[in-house]
Amino acid sequence: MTTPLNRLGQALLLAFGVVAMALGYWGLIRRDALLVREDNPRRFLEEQRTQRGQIVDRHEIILAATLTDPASGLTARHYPYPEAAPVVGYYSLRHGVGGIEAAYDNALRGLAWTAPAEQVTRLLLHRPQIGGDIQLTLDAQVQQDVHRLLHDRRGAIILVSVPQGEVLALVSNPTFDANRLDEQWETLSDDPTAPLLNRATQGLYQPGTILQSAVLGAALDAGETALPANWEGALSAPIDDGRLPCAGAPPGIENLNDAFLWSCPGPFVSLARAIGQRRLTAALNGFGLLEAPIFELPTVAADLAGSPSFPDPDLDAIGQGSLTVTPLHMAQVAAALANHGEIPAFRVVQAIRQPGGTWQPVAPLGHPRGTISRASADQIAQWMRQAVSAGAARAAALPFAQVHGHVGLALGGPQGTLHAWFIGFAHRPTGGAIAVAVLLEDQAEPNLAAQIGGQALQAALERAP
Amino acid sequence: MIDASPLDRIAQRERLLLIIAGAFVSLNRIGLTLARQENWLSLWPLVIWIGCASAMHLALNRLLPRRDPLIAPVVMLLAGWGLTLVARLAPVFAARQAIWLAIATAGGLTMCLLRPGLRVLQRYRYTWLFVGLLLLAATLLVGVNPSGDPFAPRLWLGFAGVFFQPSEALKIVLIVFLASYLAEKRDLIVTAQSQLGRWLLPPLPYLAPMVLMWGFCMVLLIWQRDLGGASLFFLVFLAMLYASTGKGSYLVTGLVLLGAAGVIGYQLFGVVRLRVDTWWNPWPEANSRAFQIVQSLLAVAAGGLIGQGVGLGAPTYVPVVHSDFAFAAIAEEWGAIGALGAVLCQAILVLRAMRIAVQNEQRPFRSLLAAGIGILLGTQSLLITAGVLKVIPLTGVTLPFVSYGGSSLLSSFVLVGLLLRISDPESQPHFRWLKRAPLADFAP
Repeated sequence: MTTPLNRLGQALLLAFGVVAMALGYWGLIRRDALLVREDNPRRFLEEQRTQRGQIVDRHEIILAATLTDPASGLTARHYPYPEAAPVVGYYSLRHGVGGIEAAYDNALRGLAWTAPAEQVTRLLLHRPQIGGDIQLTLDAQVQQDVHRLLHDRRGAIILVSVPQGEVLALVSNPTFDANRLDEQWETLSDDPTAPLLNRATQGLYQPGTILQSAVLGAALDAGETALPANWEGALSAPIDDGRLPCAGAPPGIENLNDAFLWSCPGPFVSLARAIGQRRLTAALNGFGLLEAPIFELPTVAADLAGSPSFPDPDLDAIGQGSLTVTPLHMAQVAAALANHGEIPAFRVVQAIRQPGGTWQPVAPLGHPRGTISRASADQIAQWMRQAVSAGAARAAALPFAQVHGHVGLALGGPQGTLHAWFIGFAHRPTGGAIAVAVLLEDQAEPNLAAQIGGQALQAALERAP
Repeated sequence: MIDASPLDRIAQRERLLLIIAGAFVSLNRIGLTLARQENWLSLWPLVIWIGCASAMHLALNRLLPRRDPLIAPVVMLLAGWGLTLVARLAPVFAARQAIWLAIATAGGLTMCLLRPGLRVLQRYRYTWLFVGLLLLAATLLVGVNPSGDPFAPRLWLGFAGVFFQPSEALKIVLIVFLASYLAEKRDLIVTAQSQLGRWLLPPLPYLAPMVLMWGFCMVLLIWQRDLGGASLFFLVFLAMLYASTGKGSYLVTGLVLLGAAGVIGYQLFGVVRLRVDTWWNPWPEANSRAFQIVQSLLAVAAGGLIGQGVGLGAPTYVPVVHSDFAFAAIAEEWGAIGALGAVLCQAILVLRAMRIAVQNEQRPFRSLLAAGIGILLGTQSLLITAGVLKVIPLTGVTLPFVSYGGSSLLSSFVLVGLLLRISDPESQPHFRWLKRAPLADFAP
């Protein structure tokens, strides 16, 4: 009987060994893969225990806060200004984080201040993590007003203070309501109008004639101040099988100033040939158009590595080459022209507050950046003022403030539709200026872009800084 | 006659191990109270545990001085762990479980104390079997489920608010019966062979109970949907048959029969289909049919190597975690290390039982009884731990000594009491006063 007993004992021991191995498999090897599963309630529980910080605007109006339901004890992230979604982003257990909620996740969770040793103690004792708060440069009221200007049009608007570089509004439309993200996620991701895309920072568009100020800057710096001799009088410019028209209806083009005022691409093709490829590249690079802007939110730039002919003076000079830009790029150009040729360091995060602490200012991520000479910039600014008073950008005019502006059209859509652009700025009575960039998708009427740009400037000017 | 020093050593060793077990149990229970910020009065089950452990140790010193000193500490460690676990997972049952522990300890000690003891068990095997089957029949007819759920298996007999699971008593009866039957008939089974025409068949004395047993388990399965009980009984029967005869062919035949029953059950019964389907691939149905097993695996994963700490995990997301899934809760809060410790304790118990069986080789009944106890406790803990870890399909049995359940605790302690008694070779003289002819297990 000894042998069968021994064998049985060995068999049972072997089975216990298998159980031990299964423990190691699920508890150690497959651990991470299992824990990220959506049906793991512990994720939810852990998140519920974290006291996530607030996001507030420049006047400390709450843009995102975690509220606790007194009845169930469950917490939920609440966004009182859904229009601010392109900046504030979203926070979802299922879909992660986006926008500032993602960029400052560690601070909002409080992890930014927790030393590793402290973190271990906290995890061991299961103490809730208390998060810090983030203050944005955004003005919730302006953001809301500017968002309304777009109605149901697809496009983007950025308002930035000069010379501070503080983003006062950053609108992308259509957008999403972060309060209802989980229930709408499927619809939002399948929507062909891409409401989850932040058009202002990540939408790449053909710049078209809005690029003229950059090309003009290069020309002025190079001493080219007159219409090029090789210009044959064409106002529009040929692209592929169509033509890019002037943004305005010029009474006649007699000098370079007129061509800029009415945003006519024809003369700029000749101008770009006159200044040459090297200087054109330098100008576009100088305005920061070839790289992703340094900003707290994710940004993009055109991938020119795959383009054998960049810049192509005939096409890139009129913004129809391989260079595409985001509205944020154009806001940098507008801010540079308002700031005598220097791009301010853009930022949207102003201050940060530790749990129980006071607001500590946050430096912008980048540095101010020189573009063209002060004289050239001021010259272009003067022409922009004329464009609003007597050119293609008249719709941007405001009764109480002098608006500087420039409109542009770009052939962009897959069906050969036009996008309308506007960049501009207006000085504040108290000093400094507000710069704006507007993009409207599938909009052949540049007046609308100019009008919205003017109203956006008005919304910002009416508010206290 | 008896050298005092080895006996002292046994008592000392058991005492030391019990103190270690007590330290572990107390530390965890105090940790739970701290984690929950409970009143210190919530520690009273710990006092009961200390009382039970001390009473057991002192009683065993008197009754069974030559016992195996490892068994009581391991069992008390698991029972104390279970007490903390029930308080953590289902606090409303904590008081009940503590009282059941006291009853179970008393039940186990009674097995060591009763004078006629093992011989009575052996002699009246058919009586016990009859009583057991009567209990089972009663459950079939008037069984209830304490949860009141009309669709849950009705495996309990209720009386005055106390519920008892007769299949727990049946476990004891079955092992005693099989040990007694096989001890007497094994020579016959090994040598005899029956012939049917030209065919050489396995001997009838083996064949008949085998078929009977299989039929009995099928009844259990069909009538009560008690998948766990049915598989446990059949596996224990097969193992004991193999232990007594040493014939591997019986084991193979039995496993084939079990497989056949599984296939038939899969076709006929939703509960078998559910368990097999959710074992083979639970992931597509993680939110519906396979919720329990997936949540169980998530609990194990959440535990990682060292666990979340007692009272600090979230094992209550696993449905009925306090009984069927106690092991998943251990894995979450004590980690893979803690769960491995629990497995190790169960394995030690099984190995000690098999060792005792080998030591008692010359007394077939005692040997088979010890082996049966070890096989039963081992198989039961393997069925549930492997089920919780998706190694085999889930069968709803309790983790011995740990899971919530009074009758399970009582029957496990009774088995341990018997095991302790067999482990003491000197426990025989107690029976001398019975003026009966010497029986097989008195033989040298």
